[in-house]
Amino acid sequence: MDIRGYISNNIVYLDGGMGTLLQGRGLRPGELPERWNISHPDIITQIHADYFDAGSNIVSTNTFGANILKYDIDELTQIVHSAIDNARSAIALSTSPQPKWVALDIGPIGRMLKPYGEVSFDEAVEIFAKTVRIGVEYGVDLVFVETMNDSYETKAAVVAVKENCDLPLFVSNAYSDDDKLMTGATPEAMVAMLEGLGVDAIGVNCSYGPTKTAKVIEEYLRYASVPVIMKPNAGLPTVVGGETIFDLSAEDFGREVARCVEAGVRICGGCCGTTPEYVRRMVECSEGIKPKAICHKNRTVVSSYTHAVSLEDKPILIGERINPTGKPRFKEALRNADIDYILSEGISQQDKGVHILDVNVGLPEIDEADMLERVVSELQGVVDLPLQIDTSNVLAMARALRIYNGKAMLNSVNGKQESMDSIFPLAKKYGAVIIALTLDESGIPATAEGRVEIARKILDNASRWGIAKEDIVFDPLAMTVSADSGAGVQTLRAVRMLRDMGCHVSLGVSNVSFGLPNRDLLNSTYFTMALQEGLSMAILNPNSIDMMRAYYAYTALVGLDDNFSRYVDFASTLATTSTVATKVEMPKAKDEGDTPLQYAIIKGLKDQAGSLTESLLESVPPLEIVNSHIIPALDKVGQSFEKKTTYLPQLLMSAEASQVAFEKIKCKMSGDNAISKCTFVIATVEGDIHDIGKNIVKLLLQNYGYNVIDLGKNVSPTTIVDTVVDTHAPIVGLSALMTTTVPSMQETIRLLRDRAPWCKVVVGGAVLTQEYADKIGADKYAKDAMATVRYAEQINEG
Amino acid sequence: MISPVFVKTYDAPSYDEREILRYIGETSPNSETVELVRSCIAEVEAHLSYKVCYAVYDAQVTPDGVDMTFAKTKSTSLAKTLADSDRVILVVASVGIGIDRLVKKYLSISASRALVMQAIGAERVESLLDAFCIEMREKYRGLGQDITTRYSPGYGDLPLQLQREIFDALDCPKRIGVSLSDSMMMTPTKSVSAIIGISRSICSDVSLDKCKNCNKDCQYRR
Repeated sequence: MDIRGYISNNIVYLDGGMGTLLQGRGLRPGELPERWNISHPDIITQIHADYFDAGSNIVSTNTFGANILKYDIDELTQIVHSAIDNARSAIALSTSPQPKWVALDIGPIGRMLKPYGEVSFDEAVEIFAKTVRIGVEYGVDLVFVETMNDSYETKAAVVAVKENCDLPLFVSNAYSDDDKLMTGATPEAMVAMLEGLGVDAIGVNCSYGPTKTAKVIEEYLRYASVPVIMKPNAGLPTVVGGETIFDLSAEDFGREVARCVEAGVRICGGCCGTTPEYVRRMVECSEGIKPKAICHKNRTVVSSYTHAVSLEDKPILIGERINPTGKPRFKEALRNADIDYILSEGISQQDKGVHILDVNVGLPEIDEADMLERVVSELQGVVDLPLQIDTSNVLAMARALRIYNGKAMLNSVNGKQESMDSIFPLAKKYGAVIIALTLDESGIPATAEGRVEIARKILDNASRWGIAKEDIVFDPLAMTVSADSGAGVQTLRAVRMLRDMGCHVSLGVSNVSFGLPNRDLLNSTYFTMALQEGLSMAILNPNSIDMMRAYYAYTALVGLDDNFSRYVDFASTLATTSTVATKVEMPKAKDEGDTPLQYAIIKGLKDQAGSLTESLLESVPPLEIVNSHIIPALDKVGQSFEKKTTYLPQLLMSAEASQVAFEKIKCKMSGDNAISKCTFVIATVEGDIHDIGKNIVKLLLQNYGYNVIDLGKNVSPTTIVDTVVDTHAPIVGLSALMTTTVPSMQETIRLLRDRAPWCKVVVGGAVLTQEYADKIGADKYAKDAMATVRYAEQINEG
Repeated sequence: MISPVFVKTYDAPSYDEREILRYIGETSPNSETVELVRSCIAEVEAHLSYKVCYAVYDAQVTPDGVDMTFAKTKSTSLAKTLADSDRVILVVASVGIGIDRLVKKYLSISASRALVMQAIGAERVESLLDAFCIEMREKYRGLGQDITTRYSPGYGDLPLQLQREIFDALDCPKRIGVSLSDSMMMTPTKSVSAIIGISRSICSDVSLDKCKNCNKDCQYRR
């Protein structure tokens, strides 16, 4: 019988614990339980058979930790094969009549993924895929990905399964006591991502006993449109008389789980501490319950690695600032791979209150696919907002969507057949909410009716790919009123008509005012009008006070702002920004004849350093500001740091203030690199994931005018050497925090001597000493950031 | 004896501002730094979780080192610490990934804040482990026993490689979301693994302050 068919009419019973039972039969601490498939097949088979006899429909193979990180490929193959044999034998052995299936069990790999750990997303996919391929080729009925406590690793496992078979896929996550995954995702976010990926059933296992798990289950039942799984522990472990027991009896366990089945759980079993007796009780308690119908929730929802954003409650704002169009400084950042600049654009938009960030990094002279993948990954390290992947490059879109942690928005598809044929399969595979522009091969229709017609065509095509209506958000395109005075009205009509069709609608309103003065006034008014027509979301610049005013005022006035709290918060920022903008308190030159800018830098006053630089730029040439104000101030702080009268935090605060000053100067000089010294390549070596020290050095070097190429952390010797060779950099800085990664530093130096003999190597990091540096053949050991700067100055001048 | 692995969540231990300043390397703090530290503390709390997982194992000092059931080691320094113990508590504590995210965020916009955040993280996880040790000491003293100072891989001659066995024994990724890399580093980075001896009788002279039991001259000495 087909499992998918069976689930639609029946409660499905899974098995219970395995690990605790094996310990009871002699598994020693530290011994790998998967090896028992081969060494103790009778015991494993008997446990599976006991579960079937207790009423389980599905048993999971004893392969929780069977992956290529723990076993070589031969042993892995043997383990998975034996595990499946054991489960199949149990079916033959069991005498109970219910339908029975074998699930290939997949547990976490136990490694953190990038950007926090060292395993890349694609490496994780491949680790899972190896186990999946072995199991699927040998023959199982379904795959069960379980006990995942990180959303990103969960996605990697799901992609690995989906790319290697069409079997039913169940996924269950382990939640912490704050009802989130260990890395922060809420149940709602997991539902969004996993349904997007096309998983057959989703839910919760391990974590806690059924009572505590019930709260997370409630969330799943509220949001999920697929069957929900519950597989809790037998309560919490305690030691009684030297023996481990769990504090919930089989009877209580059965009763608690049955309560959740009544609430709508469709698939249930037990995890740690549960035994065949627990499963028997669970089946007894829930057998008579009529399965609750699973209804489609019709939610338009995207997610990040922490939370979901849905279009149900209030209009949603998408920040548009991560985009090079018309921004020379942003283009320069892209060309120099200055990721920090791009990240800071993301962070500041989040601070201004947007809900989603649009990410567009298209520039003809760079590899957009590489850059988009990198920026999406890095942004997800620092900003927990869902992202909107914005590109016309299908390859770039595919790569970004693949490594995205959550369910993304896509910008965009349109009514052209070619566009739909290339975008929909991607959205189907990874899950996404897609912005659909109402234009096609014949352009943008002038009337609302024409645009709605295209919308219908897009919905038709989407449904052929199995993409639901709620995963499409239409953009009926704001047109320039100065070119056609009726254009504004047509777009508003289209908004209303699309909303009446039950679709969500987005707009980028700013086009409407093109060619007219005081555009913010027109834009914000038009935005309010569109909101009144039912606009679901808008892409905008959150730095535009007028647009944000319109948004907060609208949501307050139509009752979408509980207690006016968002409006009140916003109104209070308005009061302070207007005073700050007009009146930054200027420091007076106090000590020892410092200029005001010098004083601001020495004291680490960012805002003042920025304003003072701006006013200086009106009369003083940029280079002179650098040479007579900024550099002397930095030197002064640097010297007192070396004399130990100033400490690292002040040194950094000064460096940040001078960076603000440099930014102002850069805007003025627009890409002119007159203040740049030599190239300095910097990296944390392979195997090491610490980068705070390296980033501090980088900041100071940038302050002193070096063209710093930051390769990040965990960087392979080859990448470092390739970069040095490509740029012919005269100096490279290597950082390592732990003794275990010093060999990789040594290897990097060896390779540098071979392929880039001109390059000087300076090393630093907690573990290093002069002695170590000498031993591995470095040119210089730098004890702190200033020492690196001083050494760089020598090389630059020499 | 094989105990189960216990998981415990703690409330936030109180912040030790002096300790945070010590991690930053600020021996005579000025008002700007203190203000910075306070504003970082105010921001950080919502991003932390305080979790430990631990288990108890029989342990025996042998002529070649120590046998702790889950692993054997030749470390003489650990053997010295465990001289009066017949069991060990193996513990991994972590304050979660939130602090790593904050540090990473501030590395792109404010290095001084990143520096302070990371010092706070170090202080947090040590304070968490302090809270755990105090609790254990009370528990075992109540039974007429005691605990030793905590000892971590990398201290003395206890090799970092022991991390692998610790992680296999406690299954930390599953229990508290801490994973171990090939180079023996833990993520989230603000995590600490330790071995604590359970000694047969109360020994009043053992301090839980690690610095008092170490005679190295190091920049972080309290």
